[in-house]
Amino acid sequence: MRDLYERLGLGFGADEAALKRAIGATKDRELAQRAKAVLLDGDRRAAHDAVYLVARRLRDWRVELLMEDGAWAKALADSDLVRPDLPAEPLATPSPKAGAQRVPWWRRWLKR
Amino acid sequence: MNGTAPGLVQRLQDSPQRLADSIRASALWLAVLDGPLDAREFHEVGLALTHDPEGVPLQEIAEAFAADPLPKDLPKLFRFLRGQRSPKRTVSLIDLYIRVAAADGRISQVERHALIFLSDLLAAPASLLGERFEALLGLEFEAPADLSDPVFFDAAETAARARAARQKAREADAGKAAQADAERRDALLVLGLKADATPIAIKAAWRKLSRQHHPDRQLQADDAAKAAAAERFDAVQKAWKRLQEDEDA
Repeated sequence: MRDLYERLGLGFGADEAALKRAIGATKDRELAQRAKAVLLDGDRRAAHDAVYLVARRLRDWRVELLMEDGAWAKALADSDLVRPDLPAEPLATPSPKAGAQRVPWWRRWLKR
Repeated sequence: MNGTAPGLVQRLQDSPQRLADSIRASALWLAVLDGPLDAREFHEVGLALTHDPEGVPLQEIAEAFAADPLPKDLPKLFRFLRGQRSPKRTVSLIDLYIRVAAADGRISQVERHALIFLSDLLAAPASLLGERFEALLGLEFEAPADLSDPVFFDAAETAARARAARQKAREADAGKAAQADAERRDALLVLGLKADATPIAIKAAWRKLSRQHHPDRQLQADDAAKAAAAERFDAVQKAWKRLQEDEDA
C-alpha cells in the first residue's frame, strides 16, 4: 500500500517523463501496470497524490515521534504509515527498571 | 510552507491553557485535512471544549491550518499531546476525533489515515478506535483503501458513470425525476431517516436494521414474527440498494 512514486524509486509528484522512464525500467510488471493505470491518468493521479501526500507525511511524523512501538505498529507494517526500513514486527517495550535508561529504537534496531 | 503555522505552534506552546488549545488544534487539523473546514466540523470542536478567552481562538487555529494543513513543525504539538496520556482523556480525544471526521457526513480516505495516526499517537490499544467508532457511529472502522490499485478507480468510475446515466435519464424526463425522488424518500423512510440523512447515518441505519431483522436472529420467534421480520429485512435491503444507487451511502 506504499505510494507508487516510492515503489518506483521516484520523488513524490515526479513529472510524466520521469514516470515513464521509471515504468519502463522497472522489472516488476504488476507495479508497472499499476503505475501506468493510476499515475498516467490525470484524475486518478490527483486522487492518489492527495491521499498519499498526507499518508507519507503522517508516516514521517510517526517516525519522528518515535511511535514505532505503538499499538498499531503491527497492523500498519505494510501500510504507508511505517517506514520501509523499520522492522515489520513492533519492537518489544522493555519493562521499566529503576534507574534504567530506555535504549533508543535505532540502537535496538542496529543491534539486531 | 506557510508562515502562519510556525507562529501558531509557538503560540500554542506558550498558551496559558496549553493542553486545551493543543487538543483544539489537533482536532481542527484533522478537520481541514480533506478540504476546507466545514461549519459542522468547527462546531464539533467548539462543543468539545468550552472557549476560554485566554486561549488561542478557534478561528485563528482553523485559519492557520486551512492555509497549510501539513506544517513541518506540527509534530511538536503532537509530541506534547503524546506526553499527556491518561486512559480517560485518550477515550474522550478519540471520540472527539471521530466526531470531527464524521461531522460532514463522510469519512474520507485521508481521515482514515489520520484517525489511525492519532490513535497511535495517543498510544491507544489497537481495538479502541474500532470500538469507539462503532459506539459513536454504529459502523465498523474500515482501513484506508489502496489508491495505488487501479481496481479501486475502476469500481469508482463505473459507479460514477452509472450514476451520471441515471441522472441524465431523470433530467430528460420530469416524470422519472419525480419518481426517483419519491423512491429515495420511501427508501429513507424504511430506514427511519429524514431526507437530509448523511451517508454515515444511512449506512449505520441499514446495518442496525439488518442485524435486528436478520432471519438468523429470529430463532426464538414464532412463524408470524419470523415472516414479518423476513419481510422487513427484505425491505431494508431494497432501500439500501436504492440509496446506494445515488451514492448516498
